Amino acid sequence: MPNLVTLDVSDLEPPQPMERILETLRQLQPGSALKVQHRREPIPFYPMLKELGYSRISRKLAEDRFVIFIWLTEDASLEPFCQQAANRETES
Amino acid sequence: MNTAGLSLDNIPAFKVPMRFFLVAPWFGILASLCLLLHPEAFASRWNPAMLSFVHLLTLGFAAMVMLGAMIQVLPVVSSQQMPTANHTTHWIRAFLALGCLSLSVGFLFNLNAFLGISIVLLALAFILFLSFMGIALVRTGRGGATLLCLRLAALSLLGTVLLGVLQLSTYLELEWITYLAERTDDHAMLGLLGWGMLLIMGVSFQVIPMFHVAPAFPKWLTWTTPTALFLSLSAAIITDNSFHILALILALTAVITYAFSALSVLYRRKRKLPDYTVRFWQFALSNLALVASLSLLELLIPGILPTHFQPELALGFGFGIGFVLSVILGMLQKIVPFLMYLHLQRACLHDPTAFMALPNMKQLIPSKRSKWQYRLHIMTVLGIYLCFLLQQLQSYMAVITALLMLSNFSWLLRSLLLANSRYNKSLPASSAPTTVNTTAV
Repeated sequence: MPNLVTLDVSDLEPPQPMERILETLRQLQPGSALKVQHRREPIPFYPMLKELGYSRISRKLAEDRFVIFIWLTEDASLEPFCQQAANRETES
Repeated sequence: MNTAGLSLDNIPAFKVPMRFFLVAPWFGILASLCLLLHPEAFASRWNPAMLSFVHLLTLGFAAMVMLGAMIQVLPVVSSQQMPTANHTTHWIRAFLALGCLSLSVGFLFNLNAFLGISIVLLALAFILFLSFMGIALVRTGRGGATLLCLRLAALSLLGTVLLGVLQLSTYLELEWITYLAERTDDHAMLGLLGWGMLLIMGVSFQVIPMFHVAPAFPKWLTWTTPTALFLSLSAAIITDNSFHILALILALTAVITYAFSALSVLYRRKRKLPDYTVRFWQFALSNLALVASLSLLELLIPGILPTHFQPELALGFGFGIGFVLSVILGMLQKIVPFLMYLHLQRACLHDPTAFMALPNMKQLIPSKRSKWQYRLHIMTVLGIYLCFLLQQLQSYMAVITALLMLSNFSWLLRSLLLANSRYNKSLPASSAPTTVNTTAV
């Protein structure tokens, strides 16, 4: 069963959310995905994630509440896992 | 703003907006020198030196920064790559810079040939820019409150340019058009309260909550204030007498509502750490609230502001330098290092050694440098107000203000040049300064 690490960057000023996410991704164990809680959708960060070989799914929960699931694209088992987790967030 | 369709891959190379930002302070320096050599400028709004001074500031400095920033933002907002964006921007910047210089020389030395040249150059600059902006804003389809503000701001800019070109044509003694003082009023009103105010409003709805961890602006406010402002400004231009006054009252009410709401949003920010961009915003919005409230008071009770204080000019400068210039200076302290940092991060993604050595935002424009910018700017604005309050010492105060303004813009230029040099040095050796974008010039 894949592992999900949660990181809340909602109260950080740019560019700290991006720095914290990159730092956490570097420390992530194989088979783990990252769930980021943010007050905005970090659009400028997405091309960078793609270049680093990560995929992501984001969900808007409220005007100032987003969750973003990030995983290594090469680990195919993580995509359905993050999809399910994202769907659960929307339903709850 | 609906961010779903945003694409940062379409951002022009960082050097594209940065060239606009690096040219702009030179016009601020020229404006300061113009005031220093002609301290009598404040005597009348029709004084040739005043016309030259005002246009060096509004076109040469403010518009140069605003156009540069829009060129960076519009491809992102529209999710479209502007086909000729990078080449076009060279022309826009060149036409705007030369047009502004020509206009200022024309006004200052009463040389109609220079005014004629400036009509052509400025019309070309704005036709190119508004086409660029128009394509981006039309392609985007429906959007949020920020896009609404940008669209209304673009229409206001179009109106400002048309009125300006028409008024300038009268200097060429063409027979088909006559000079109208009211046209200058409408030109200034649409430029300041339309283009300037709406653009800042739209940008603030995004950047204040984003950069300062503040709550979002109330949704009703982000739709009603720009709409009410634009409609009432349009009504003020086409009507006269009591309808004109009523339209202006509505416009100023929208502005005051925005000013207090933005101050409240900033006050409720979560992280109250010392930040000079926040201080610039607070100073700008306080000036806006003051100037708009005094203007409203004068409309409601005509003559309440003593005429010997030149209320028309004083309020205009309070808005232009106290509000618009404060916002621009504050935003440059934040946006420039932020964009540099983003571009550097991407350029160094695959070079761990370069990545580790990257400067942080505070090293690109240190707080100490922003603190001096803030101090110099506060003193400049104070100097401007004193020029009107101390009428008997106006010429002396104008010289002092010009020196303060010269220091303010020189400091900005130094700050931007130092940041740019640090940025270029931090790029990995394998990377050209435009690595971030494949469509660079």
